[in-house]
Amino acid sequence: MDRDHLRAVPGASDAPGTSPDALLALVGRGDAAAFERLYPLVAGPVYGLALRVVRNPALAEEVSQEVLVEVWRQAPRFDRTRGSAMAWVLTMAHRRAVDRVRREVSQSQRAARAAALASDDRDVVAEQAERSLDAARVRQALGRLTAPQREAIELAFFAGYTHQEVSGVLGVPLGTAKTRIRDGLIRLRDALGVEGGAER
Amino acid sequence: MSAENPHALTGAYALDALEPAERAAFQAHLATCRDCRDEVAGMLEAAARLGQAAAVPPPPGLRERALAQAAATPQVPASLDTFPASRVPGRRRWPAAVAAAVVLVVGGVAGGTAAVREIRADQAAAADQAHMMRIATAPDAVSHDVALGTSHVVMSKAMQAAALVGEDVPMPVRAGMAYQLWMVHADGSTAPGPTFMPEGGEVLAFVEGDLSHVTALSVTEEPMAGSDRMTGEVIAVVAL
Repeated sequence: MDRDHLRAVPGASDAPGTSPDALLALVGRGDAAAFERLYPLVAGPVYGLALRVVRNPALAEEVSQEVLVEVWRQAPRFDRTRGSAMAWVLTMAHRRAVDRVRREVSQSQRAARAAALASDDRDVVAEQAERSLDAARVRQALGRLTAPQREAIELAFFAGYTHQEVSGVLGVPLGTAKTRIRDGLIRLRDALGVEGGAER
Repeated sequence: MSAENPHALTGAYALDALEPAERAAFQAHLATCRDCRDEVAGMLEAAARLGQAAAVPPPPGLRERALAQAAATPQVPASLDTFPASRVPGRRRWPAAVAAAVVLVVGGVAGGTAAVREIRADQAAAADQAHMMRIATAPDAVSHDVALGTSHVVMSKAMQAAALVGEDVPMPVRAGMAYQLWMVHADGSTAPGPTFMPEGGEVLAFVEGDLSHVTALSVTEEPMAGSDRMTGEVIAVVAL
């Protein structure tokens, strides 16, 4: 049969399923070939998200590379019952991009570009959503948020704002900022029909 | 942060919109609150969809560099779960590490004789998480970055307690050694704190006692059992 075909983990890459979940599980067992197959599924979202947050292509690329290596390194800890592979990867990507932008871009600089950003982002998200697979659903889901909810989420998610900064920029009490972020995310979750982990 | 109602922070946590001390405190809460874990899990999935919608083609050289670097990078051990599966399950990296953390508490700063206890049980770990959260949410709580992986110290002088919380902490350079925390006084004298080891890169250690005369905390490498006096070089120091 095809015994001359060596694999990182014998047989592992034969497994059916090319979903990010299945591939990341294989990566977690040290399957380098699965990591190569996972790359094209996650690299675009990781880089795109990093770019949105750090707003600098070179820095975004650096962050992306770190995240992708981290995906490989930490894959053995991925637990599908606690969430999807895509959420696992993008949570890591977002966290790292946000940490980076907070370290390298001062609060005042971030605050300065905030106003423009808030109105700007709406269109960018819509435009980018057009191109993605779940385009219609993401766009529709965003449309279900109130404008203040969407604004708060965009500032936190894409501009890397802390909730204190969101409250400051929007001129609303901290509790209001928290509530907008939470309620907005819950509405987004419900509109998208996504579910969290199966930790039951 | 709202110590009374940490549930309100799920959204801000899911979007990484918390300050480091708040984040650490909320992660501690997550370890003990299934409702919040479930809510955060759903929110992370929703946020991931937003992230996916932001996808753009990555730069051409990225693939090769990422794959090459990954090939040269060892993976973490398959699991931190050396304890029973019935442990408090948690999201992300924090709760597992807390449960796994060997937490050492030192009583009596002035005396210098450390009554050290070692706790491994989940229940105790949950209590430590709660303890850490109480420190981090005390009205006078302050947080300082520590150059040991990504770590910080949260401290409340009113509560007479400080917690060193960190992740991405490398193992001590010298084999067979542990990290040890030290309290540094204004006159330069030091009092020993607990030893600790990274578990999956994460650390959690407490110092308790009257901290009003402690001007800094420092970290050295010491033998596993800990030292009464510093023998290693100071590898991280944080002024309080």
